[in-house]
Amino acid sequence: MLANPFSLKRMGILGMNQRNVDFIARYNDRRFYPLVDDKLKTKQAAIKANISVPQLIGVISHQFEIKSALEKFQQLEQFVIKPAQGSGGKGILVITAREGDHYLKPSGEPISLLDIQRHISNTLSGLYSLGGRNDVAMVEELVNFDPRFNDYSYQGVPDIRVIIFKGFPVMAMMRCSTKDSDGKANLHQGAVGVGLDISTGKSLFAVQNDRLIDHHPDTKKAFKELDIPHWHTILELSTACFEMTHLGYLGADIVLDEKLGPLILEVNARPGLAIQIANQIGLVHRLKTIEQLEVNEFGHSGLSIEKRVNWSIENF
Amino acid sequence: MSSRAQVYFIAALLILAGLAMTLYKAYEMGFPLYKGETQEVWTIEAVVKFKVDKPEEVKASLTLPNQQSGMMILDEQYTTSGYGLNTSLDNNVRKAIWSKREATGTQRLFYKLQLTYDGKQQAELMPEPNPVPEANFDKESLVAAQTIADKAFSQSSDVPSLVEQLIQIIETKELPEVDFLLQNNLRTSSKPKLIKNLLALKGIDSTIARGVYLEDGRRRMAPSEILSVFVDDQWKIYNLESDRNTNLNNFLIWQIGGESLLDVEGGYDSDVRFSMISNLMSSRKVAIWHNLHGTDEDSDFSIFGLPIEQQSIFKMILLIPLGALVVVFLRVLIGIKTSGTFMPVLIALAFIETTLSTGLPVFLIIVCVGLVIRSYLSNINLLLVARVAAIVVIVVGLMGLISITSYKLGIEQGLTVTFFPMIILAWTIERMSIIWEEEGPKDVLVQGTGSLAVAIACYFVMTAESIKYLAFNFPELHLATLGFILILGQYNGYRLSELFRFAQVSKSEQEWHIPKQADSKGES
Repeated sequence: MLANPFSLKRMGILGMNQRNVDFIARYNDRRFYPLVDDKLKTKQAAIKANISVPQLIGVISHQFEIKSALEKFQQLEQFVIKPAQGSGGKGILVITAREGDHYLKPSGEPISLLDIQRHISNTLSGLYSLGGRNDVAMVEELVNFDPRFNDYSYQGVPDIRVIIFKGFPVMAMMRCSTKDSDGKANLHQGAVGVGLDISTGKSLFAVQNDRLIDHHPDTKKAFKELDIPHWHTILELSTACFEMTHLGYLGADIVLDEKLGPLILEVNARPGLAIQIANQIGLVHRLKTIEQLEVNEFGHSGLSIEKRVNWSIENF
Repeated sequence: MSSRAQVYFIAALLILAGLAMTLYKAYEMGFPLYKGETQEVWTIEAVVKFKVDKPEEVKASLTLPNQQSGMMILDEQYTTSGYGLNTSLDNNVRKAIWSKREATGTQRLFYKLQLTYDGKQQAELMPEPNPVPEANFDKESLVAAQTIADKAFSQSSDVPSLVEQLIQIIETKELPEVDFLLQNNLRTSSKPKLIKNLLALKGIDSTIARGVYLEDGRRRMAPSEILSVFVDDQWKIYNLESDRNTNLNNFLIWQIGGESLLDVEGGYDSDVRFSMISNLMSSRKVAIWHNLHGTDEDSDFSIFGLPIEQQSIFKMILLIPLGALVVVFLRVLIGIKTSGTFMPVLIALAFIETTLSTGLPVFLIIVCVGLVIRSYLSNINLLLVARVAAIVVIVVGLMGLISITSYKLGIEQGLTVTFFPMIILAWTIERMSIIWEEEGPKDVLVQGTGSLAVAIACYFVMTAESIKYLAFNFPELHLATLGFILILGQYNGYRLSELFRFAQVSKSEQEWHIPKQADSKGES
């Protein structure tokens, strides 16, 4: 089973090399990477730019702070521990409930305070960060995701990825965790990607392991019925990431909180290509269309967020 | 110029420069492009020996052969053993002069020479012919000499036949005068000298050349003399040692003309003896020698100017760019996933030391056992640095265990385990174990086999004889390697793995809705 490269080219499928050479290298200035590679910095920048994010409970930057931090956890029922510089969802520990002395992971697996301590210790010494650099651990409030998504995800928060190119929303998908993906929303680990229509927020196709599916493999829920609420807000929120990060080509990850609505989880300077399979359409034609739009001296169209979102809704 | 055009321009420049320099080196400087080409190299040792009775000033001067076309001197060595050494170049005659204020007993001086020789050097060494040669006979000898010369002259018609006749008369000693002349006159004490003087009587110029017949394994040979006669406007060489199967093509002229080969002042019983061996040296080595010694040594700015030990390190270092090229190729064009970008190159370097057939199993054993132990370590609470350090120690232990076990079992290959860089092994184990915990055993398998496949590909490229040879002997080629890497860095087409990945979407091409704007603009 081999695709014809010319047919892929006609369809405008973006390959890894083209993404790296023609888009990331050209439109993403390296000096803006630290902002997105460090989730703590992203969060601070987002707060400054009035972009909604999950509430930060605290930061642990040194090994000696772990003990006192653990004491604070006694008061918490639910929380998430993240390495600030983790990549690919590595090192994210989600605690959804307490059961006596134990804390429960989304799978229901209990872990002890000692396990949490070890996890934080590993995080600080750089186990989960790029290149093994020393890191800090962020403790965030758990996002209580919208119950409408309950059946679309197995033991994990489904998130929405929107690709933003030069400040225009280009393509979107929802990522739903499965049993295979162990509650993680990483497509290459077996999570389901659902392509979303940019103009409506309705589902187009669903893929798991690069194959088309109709129903969630674990919950058996049909993806056809999926209709993302707050769609316009989601697009505006992710579009605002362009101004916040100065990255020409980015992927914004958004979660829908039951009460708070859409929240920016993180921004990715090297968004993956699987979104094309979930949408069954290539990125290249859309990117080229935006590339040919008139740009002003600031390197973007000079249109407001509102206008850019509307342009994408009309054109894609 | 767009950045892409710049890259292509620079890459083209690099590739052209690399290839041009390589070809120049191959065709102008004589470095062979293939390993197999060899040349015969002679090592000749001249031993000067003389005796000194009472402590006395001594001085020995030995005429040395000259650099000529057809003969290339690669190396010269002198052993002085307490003597002062001078070399002089006078009237195109090179001499080594050993001198010592006080010497007693038997003295030995050595001169060692390495050269290549194709047997065609004689012509240009010969002196200008003397139209009025001078015969060197004293009064008593002159009559005897006349007798021989006249007899030969009457029995011949031209110069070549005269020379033949003289050689025959002297070889067979058919006239008693021959013995008389050979024994009583120092100037005609050897057959060549006698013939030279006899020819001079008839107004024909000739000269005597001294040298050695190159013959592998000969030891302590006395120098031979050959006669060169000026016949029909050119020098013709005659072999006077009919008793030995000697070929003039093998004759290396050491010295020509009247001056003696060896002069010793203050000593007696002096002589010079030659020993020689021939061996086959690769033409590359010969070319290096030539370029090192044939030109100004200060201007030699190449790897071959380094000591042999450093050169052998560079043999390894110069392979790394090729490993890097393979990694770039496999990742950019094929899309193989590896753990760590250039880790496969380092593993391949280790495989080169151990050979693949032993290195691969040893590597797998260590990583697998390491992973098992590492899985226990993740159960106890350890900081990252301490855990990696612990794995380093465990790897060292495993290496020792494998070495000892294989040695006891008589599998010598197991000892090569020490060539693996321990830190690399430890990090591989750590990385793999994290991937295992975070992404599951499937990813360990994918990235592990990916890394190993790339490492093995690197290994095969880096051990191919011709590639190894070119990489070391033509480092200029790495400019071309750099050029290719730049070009690959600009490749924005699909990876082979993506053709599989997107195979499903390409099947449904017809059902696709390609946006109108994109369609029209995309085509223009």
